[in-house]
Amino acid sequence: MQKRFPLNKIVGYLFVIASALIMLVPFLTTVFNSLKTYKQYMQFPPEWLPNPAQWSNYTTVWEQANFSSYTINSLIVAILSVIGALLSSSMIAFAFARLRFPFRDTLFMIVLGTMMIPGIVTIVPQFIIFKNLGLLDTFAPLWILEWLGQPFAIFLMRQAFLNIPKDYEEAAKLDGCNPFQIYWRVFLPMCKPSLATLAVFTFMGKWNEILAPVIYLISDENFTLPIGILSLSGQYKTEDQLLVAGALISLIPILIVFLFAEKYFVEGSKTSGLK
Amino acid sequence: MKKRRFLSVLGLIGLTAALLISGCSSQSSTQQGDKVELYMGYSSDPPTKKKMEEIIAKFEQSHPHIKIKTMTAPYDDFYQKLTTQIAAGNAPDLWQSDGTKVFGYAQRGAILDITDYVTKEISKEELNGLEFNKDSDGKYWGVPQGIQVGALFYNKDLFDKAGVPYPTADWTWDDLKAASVKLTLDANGKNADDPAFDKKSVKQYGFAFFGSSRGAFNILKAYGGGVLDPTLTKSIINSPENKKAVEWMVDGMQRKLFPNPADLKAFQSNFKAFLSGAVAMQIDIYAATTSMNGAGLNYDVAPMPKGPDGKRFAPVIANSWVINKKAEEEKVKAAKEWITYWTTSDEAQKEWTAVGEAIPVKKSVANSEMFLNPATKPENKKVFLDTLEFAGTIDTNAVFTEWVKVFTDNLAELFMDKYGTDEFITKTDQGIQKVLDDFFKKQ
Amino acid sequence: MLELSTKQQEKPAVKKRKWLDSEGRWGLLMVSPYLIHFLVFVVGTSVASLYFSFSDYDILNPPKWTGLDNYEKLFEDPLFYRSLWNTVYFTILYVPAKTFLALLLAVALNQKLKGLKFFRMVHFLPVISSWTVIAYVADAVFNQRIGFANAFLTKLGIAPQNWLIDEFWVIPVLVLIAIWKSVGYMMIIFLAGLQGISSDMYEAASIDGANAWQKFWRVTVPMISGTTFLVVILNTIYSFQNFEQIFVMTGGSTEAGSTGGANNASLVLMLFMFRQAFSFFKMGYASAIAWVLFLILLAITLIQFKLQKKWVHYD
Repeated sequence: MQKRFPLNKIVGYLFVIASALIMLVPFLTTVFNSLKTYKQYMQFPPEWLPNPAQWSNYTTVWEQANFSSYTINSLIVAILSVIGALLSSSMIAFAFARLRFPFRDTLFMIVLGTMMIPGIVTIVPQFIIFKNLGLLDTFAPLWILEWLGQPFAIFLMRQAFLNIPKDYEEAAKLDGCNPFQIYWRVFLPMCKPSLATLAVFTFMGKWNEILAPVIYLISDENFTLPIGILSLSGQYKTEDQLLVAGALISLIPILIVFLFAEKYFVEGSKTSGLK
Repeated sequence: MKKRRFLSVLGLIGLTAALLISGCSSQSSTQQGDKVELYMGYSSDPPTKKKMEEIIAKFEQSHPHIKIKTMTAPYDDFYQKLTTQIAAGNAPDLWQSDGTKVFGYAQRGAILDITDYVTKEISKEELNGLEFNKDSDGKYWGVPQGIQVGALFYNKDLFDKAGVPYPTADWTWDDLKAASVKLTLDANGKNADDPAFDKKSVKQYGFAFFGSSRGAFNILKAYGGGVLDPTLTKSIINSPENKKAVEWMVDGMQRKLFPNPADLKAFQSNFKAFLSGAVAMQIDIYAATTSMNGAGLNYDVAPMPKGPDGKRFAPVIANSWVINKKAEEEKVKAAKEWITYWTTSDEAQKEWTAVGEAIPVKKSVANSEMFLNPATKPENKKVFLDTLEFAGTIDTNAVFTEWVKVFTDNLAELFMDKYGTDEFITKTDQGIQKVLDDFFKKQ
Repeated sequence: MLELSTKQQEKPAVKKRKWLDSEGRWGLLMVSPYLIHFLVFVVGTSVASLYFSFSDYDILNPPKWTGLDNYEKLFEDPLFYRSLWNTVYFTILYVPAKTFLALLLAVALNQKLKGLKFFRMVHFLPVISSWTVIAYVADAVFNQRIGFANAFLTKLGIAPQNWLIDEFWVIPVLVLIAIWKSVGYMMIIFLAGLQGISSDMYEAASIDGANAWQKFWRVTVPMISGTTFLVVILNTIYSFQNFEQIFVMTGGSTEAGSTGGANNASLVLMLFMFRQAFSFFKMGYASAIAWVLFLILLAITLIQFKLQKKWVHYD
């Protein structure tokens, strides 16, 4: 964008590099901590580097936190949620952003309002509802709300749809598109950056979620990864180094999703020149 | 048209209400053939879960008419899950409760009174800690699953380095403070006795205490004071004995022999101070041995020191099996069979002892070489068993977490010099009494 | 009725619209999953929790109606005011600083730089790290004994501080750490928003002789305002509901009642509420706190929606 100003570029680089360093420290510290022994982890003052590197932490945690089976459960929940958020929540958001219908603004205020009630006071009634729907100990309570319109997703996508100039909508109407077609053919492709953002955030949120899985899942074979990792923190002793190693392995899928979505963050700029 | 719309909205709202309201009936669940399915809850980490599963398998072998279904969660979330399940009417028939939480659930009517079973079918002589689940009316609410008892842990290396003799069974709290003076070192290695001692750069502390079972409660008791009266409904904070004990503690903090809350915070976690070898002595419970062994500490235990009048006190927490009040009769019966198996079977007791987190409930196993094994630290494990003779509960009642919060918050302010001893005593007395009245006066 | 979306209301109402025309039907159809969500999950749970707030409810037993008791108690509880103030203070420091930094980062990472993919990912790392990890690293800076911050102060001859216990410092320090952890999150939302700004606008500004800084203020800031609005609202809600950070960073012990700092200097509303709900078995009281929190957030959000017309630019 600013090829003509090399000075800007230098300033930009410096800023980005400095802030990247600040952001990188926790990650490196995590990696090093994951390779310590319990004894070294408990040292004070702490040493930054593990000595010697205890690679077996990774195999231990893989077994203890039951990664091989819990990972699949977590993947099912996260993927179903992402699909739900991308398809269903975005459609709902489109209706809120571009269509007039009765109670629209009240309903949207309710969407926002549900973000403002802390989940901790609604968890008991919600548990009872899922119990009466016969959905306890299934994955449904963990992903179904994404399919029924999750507030954050609706809000994010609504804002993205609001940003699209009206001309596109009018042009599509003239072509005889109905609102769903406008949403599907015109608006969705134009909002790829926001959809990518939504996918990353939904995946991350579901992948790391702990409270809902703990409450709704009962059988061991249904547990998700965060339960497995959190269980390493016992009543009397926490193997912190294993906890960290486990947390680190579980970051990998999020990073993969991020890298996959990242290319869409720049996608929009190609189309916006159209105007 | 408008009316129809209104009615349909009303109908849908009614439907959702129905979803909610029908929530509190407990469903009578599966029973295949003659097998009773016992639903059991326990909090776990990987080693304890593995052990528990092994013990359950053995139990099912010897009790073919019972099948156990388990509900487990990490300790941090277990009680939230349990509470939610109780509200929805599908909680386990039997669960393993943290000793400090038994009365919280019992006095709110979620746990079955098992006085009859305990008095008739359980032999008190053979079990440790049965009395700790008895309330002031003489009712039993649970049977111990594993016992935690407190002792004075000390770091042998630090004692050796300072040339101070190890704590003995005759120690008073003043002896402990005298030893702390020599064990508290500043950055230059000068101890607290040295006139050049720099309070601002303490590198090693003599003695640390914090929280409830590891904290000030024990010292108040040894001085003849305490927090709650025997009915556990009245605060007895305002007493000259407590004042003396509090002054003793504050003096130690001010001389920097004991780390205050801010000093402990600097260690990242309260436990790390002792685990990293920066504190010579600490009150802790038996379970702490697992992390101390993991940290490779060279340590041992001594009985808790005596107060000025020779009174001794040590905290005990009896983690227990409790039965759901709403459990069906057959399940209650099965639950009792499980409890009997757990407390009397040598095989179950030995398996659980091997985890190393709790003192065995069965006396014969606790006194056996298996538990007292001198090859693992601490050498002097007998101290824990001897301590059971004079140990008491930490005034656990229905509002335990709430009054402890007031107590520890106020102590923290006292130790940070926000106010003096007298203000601490009146403020804490009122605060705790308010918490107690809030619950007990209502009933 | 509030005018939530600025745009469509501008459409002059030429003819009186039917209650449900074709667009309305499409709207209802497309929003219908949320209607199910609303009827099955929102109505029931919010009515229930509202009822709890007027009841004595320990979760283990059915709620007993007690009228305004919980609210009366709440408005007399000094800890409520303390935690409310801490929360508001946290929000005032947190929202503007984080929003601005996130935008700045997004602009920086929207340039054509070498290794862009890497830089973007790096900024996402603290977002996905757990609070336990963040706390461990933050300790290296703010630890009273071994942290950089105090080492630096000592060099300058200033007395070291108890960052995470001191009443004056604890909230600003927590805000700083919270921004560090989560700025990448909002940065990504901004990054997505930046793709909507056409490069023509920048070129036009360049022709007018604007430098980079002027372009940022004259083009980027107004053009991204719709996203900024979203980010501000989300940040406000998140800030009021911040819980885990305080729980992890001011705890220090797993024993009951150790979080929130001495003198409750870092006790925030959510922590105050959480403790009441499941640790103290006072779900009724916790629900009352939740509904007060809800009303406060709702008021703030409505004001923000009212104000958006003054500064948010769509299209």
